[in-house]
Amino acid sequence: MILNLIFALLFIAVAIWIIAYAESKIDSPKEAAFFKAPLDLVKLIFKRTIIPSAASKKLFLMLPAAVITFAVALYAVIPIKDNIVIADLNIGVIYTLALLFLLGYSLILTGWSSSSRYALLGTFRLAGQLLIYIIVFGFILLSLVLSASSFNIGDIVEAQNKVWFLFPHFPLFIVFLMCMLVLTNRMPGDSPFAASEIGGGINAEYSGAPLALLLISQYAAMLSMSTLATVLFMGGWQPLFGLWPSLSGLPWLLIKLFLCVIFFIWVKAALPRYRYDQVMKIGYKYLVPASGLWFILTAITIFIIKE
Amino acid sequence: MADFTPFSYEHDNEYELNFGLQPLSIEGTARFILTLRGEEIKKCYPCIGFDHKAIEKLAEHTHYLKIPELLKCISPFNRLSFCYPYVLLMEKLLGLTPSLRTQSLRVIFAELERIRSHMRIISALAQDLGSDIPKIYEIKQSTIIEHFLKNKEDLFQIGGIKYNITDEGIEDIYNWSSKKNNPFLEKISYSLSNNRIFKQRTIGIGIISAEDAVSWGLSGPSLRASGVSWDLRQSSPYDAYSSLSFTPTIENSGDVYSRYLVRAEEIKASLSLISQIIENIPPEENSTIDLSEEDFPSPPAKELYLATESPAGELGISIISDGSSCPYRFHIRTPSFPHLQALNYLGKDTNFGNLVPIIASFDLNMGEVDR
Repeated sequence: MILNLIFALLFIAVAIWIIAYAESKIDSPKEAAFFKAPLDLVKLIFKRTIIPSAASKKLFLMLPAAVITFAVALYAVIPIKDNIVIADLNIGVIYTLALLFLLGYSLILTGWSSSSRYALLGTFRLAGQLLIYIIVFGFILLSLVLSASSFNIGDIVEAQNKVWFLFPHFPLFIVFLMCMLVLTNRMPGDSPFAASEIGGGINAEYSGAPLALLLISQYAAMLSMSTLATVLFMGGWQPLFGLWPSLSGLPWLLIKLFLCVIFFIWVKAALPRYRYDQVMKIGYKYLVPASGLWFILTAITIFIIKE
Repeated sequence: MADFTPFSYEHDNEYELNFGLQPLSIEGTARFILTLRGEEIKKCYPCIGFDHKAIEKLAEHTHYLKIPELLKCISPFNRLSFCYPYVLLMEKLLGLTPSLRTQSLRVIFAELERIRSHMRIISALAQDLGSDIPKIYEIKQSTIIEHFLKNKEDLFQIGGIKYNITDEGIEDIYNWSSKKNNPFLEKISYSLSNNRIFKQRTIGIGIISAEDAVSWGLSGPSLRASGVSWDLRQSSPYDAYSSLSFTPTIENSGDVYSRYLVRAEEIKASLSLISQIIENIPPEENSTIDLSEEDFPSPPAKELYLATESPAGELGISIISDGSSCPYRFHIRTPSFPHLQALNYLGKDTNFGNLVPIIASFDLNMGEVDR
């Protein structure tokens, strides 16, 4: 938990750096980036938390802690090296899916418990997006489970020791990237948190330490999803084409993680956001049929190979 | 056309929402009372009166020479543009004709302000849609313009200009304006104009037809985006504009995207206007003027209206003088007021997510609306 917090803070610092580079803010002091996030955190923690009189108080204060717990709990099934994993679940894939649901629903409850109209608008947007993108995510996981013929994430990583799933499943990887952005509420799909439209949406009524938890939990969720992307598509701890096998394990995992993190930040710096109904249209019209078709194709291909 | 009763519900599942401080594109305190059904806006009721400064009433008790000081308070960004119609009007009233160099200099500085204003509103639109890159480039280019306009906020004077602008100063402006590629324009051409998401967010949103645009009183880039060729710089040229070759930029669809395109094109047009006028500027002379209240002639009793093309649209000033040293009646026609009232029509029956780009496409300034 604390390690993840430190990682999230470092992540924000890196994010500030990369965004500054992408927007070519050559004059901004880059050393300050490392101090900004921790100092913001300290400031928010020592600020008074304002609780709206209409809010349901217990839920309002408890849920940010739940959100960050669910965002971090994903690491339990991520293997760092062969057989080095906190929980060697044989249904690890279903565990990740369940956690994503819980993360989304705790965010929905967060917005609902604020009992504010702006938070409510954000909640509805999030609920609509979550509903469709979890389905897409399920299809993606199913195709990968078929390819690895196991629900265990350790086995999925093992199955990629010759070739990463990224290459045979490349269209699926594109779908996964979009899915990743929307499920963590990042830039093209961040309309539930849009500041200029609905004043921060779900975060609208939050202040002080709970707000700090919510903001960090978004970065923690991004880190978790990036880890998932490395594990599912980029071979996890395994080296690329057997390069530098001495670095296999945590170093390779972190290198791949860093690439995914850069992707998140680069998209944030480069693109405007979609309207929430456009995000949902992409989900219903393109991503669900595409991932579903790919699942069927994978199944047929594996059937032919096995025969 | 407009329904001005905001507090009546047609259905049980409609609710009310106060909106206004979130968009970065509005200057000053705005408030919209929205009646929503889900995310569909059923009514949009813009409220006014939060930034009221009583400029029009104060001007009736202010000496003619000091009125520009009041006008500068209306808009924090377009200070010169707000003095411009007043200065021209007083010259017409007093029968003064400034030298050609003075006229050219006024046009240069007014165009510089137009460029800065258009860049600001384009980058605010981008920021409201979640893209911060244009803002960074806007800041860099605005800093350059800021450098040209530094300490020249009261440059426009009745009958002339206050400070002597040297040829070196003009050459700096020329070197900047005649550069082939403006970094801001280059950046928005691929991060906004050709961006899929930006197009999806703006094309077909907030459409206003040419007839409606005219009947709602729109002016400036917002009117030209609906296909009406109406630019006061061309249709009733003032100062040095009559000597320039210039065609107004027109788009036909009348949506947010075309209003954005018109502004982007007008930045280009303004840059070329500045280069054009500097190439033909008369040689340096001392044309500064510093009038005092004692030797200021009292204007004859008359009723006059004069409008200029400000960055946001038609900015007019109407004066009734009675022969004394203060105007008898003083009124300002600001472009933001009709633009705000058109939101009552444009904001209706649209998605809540579309309201922000619609607002951002009109260059609203609440200080202008209330005066």
